[in-house]
Amino acid sequence: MLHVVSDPDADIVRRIGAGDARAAETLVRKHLTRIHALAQRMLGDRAEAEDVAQEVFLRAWREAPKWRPGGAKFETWMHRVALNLCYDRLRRRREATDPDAGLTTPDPAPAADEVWLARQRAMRVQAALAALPERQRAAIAMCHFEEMSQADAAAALELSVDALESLLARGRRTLRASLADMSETRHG
Amino acid sequence: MDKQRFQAIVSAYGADPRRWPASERDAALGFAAQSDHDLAAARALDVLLDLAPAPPPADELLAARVLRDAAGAPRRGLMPAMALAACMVAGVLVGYGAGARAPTSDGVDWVLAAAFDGPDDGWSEDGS
Repeated sequence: MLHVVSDPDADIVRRIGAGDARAAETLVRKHLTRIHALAQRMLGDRAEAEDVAQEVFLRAWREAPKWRPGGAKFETWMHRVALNLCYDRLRRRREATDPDAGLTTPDPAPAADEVWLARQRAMRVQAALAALPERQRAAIAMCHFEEMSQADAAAALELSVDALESLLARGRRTLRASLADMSETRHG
Repeated sequence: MDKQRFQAIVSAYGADPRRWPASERDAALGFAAQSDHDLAAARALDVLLDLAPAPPPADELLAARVLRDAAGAPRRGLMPAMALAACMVAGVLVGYGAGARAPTSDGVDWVLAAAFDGPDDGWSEDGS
């Protein structure tokens, strides 16, 4: 049986395909922030995240005139494009001489006040997220931080929902282990 | 819903029911009262994750870049003259945005308004 997905952006995309400027504005207003945030969480670099977001929308403008509703949601397709662009950039990073480019590490500056401690904790968490395998990081970015539905996140990752759950559970288990000392500190 | 499924949900999605699968949320909530230990462990990680810095919001210059691309994109039924006009609007917009690099509280909104609310819109309003 053919599974038809109801897409809240179907009319917007149809109008973009027909040259409707208001529809383009609406799509940007709805999705630019989320696409940019996902790329930022994947890459840890603002400029690269902006380039990815721009490329995603460039492909969206090209895709709109030929988009046929009924398959994936357009937003899901945009997330999938964003993830693939991020994977490409992460692969190029691994192949380059500096494998840690874009990763944030805790600041060694000694200033033991609450602001500094809070910043150190934030950067520890960010570093732990950055150290995850990229698909686990993508799953946690979409499900925890962006609060996407399981179906949408799984579709963006081109996985079943069961496989998404497995990915999330492995990611959370790794994070729990790498941040165990922080959890003990906060609750000890 | 059984204990094993509840633990699988919490292991994957954490302790906040908002992130649980909608189709199983009510059943899982019914199970939550007997599963303090599983929830506490998941909640501890949720709290740590929420310490991660939020990405900076997309700014107006990025919106301008994105919309400049939109103005030059192919579309059904657009006359060449309209495409040229759209490019000119986007060019003015980007120039204006480049002169105002400081972030504004309005985020991308002013760019969108400046791009499309004026009388010189290069794009069709109705897609015709």
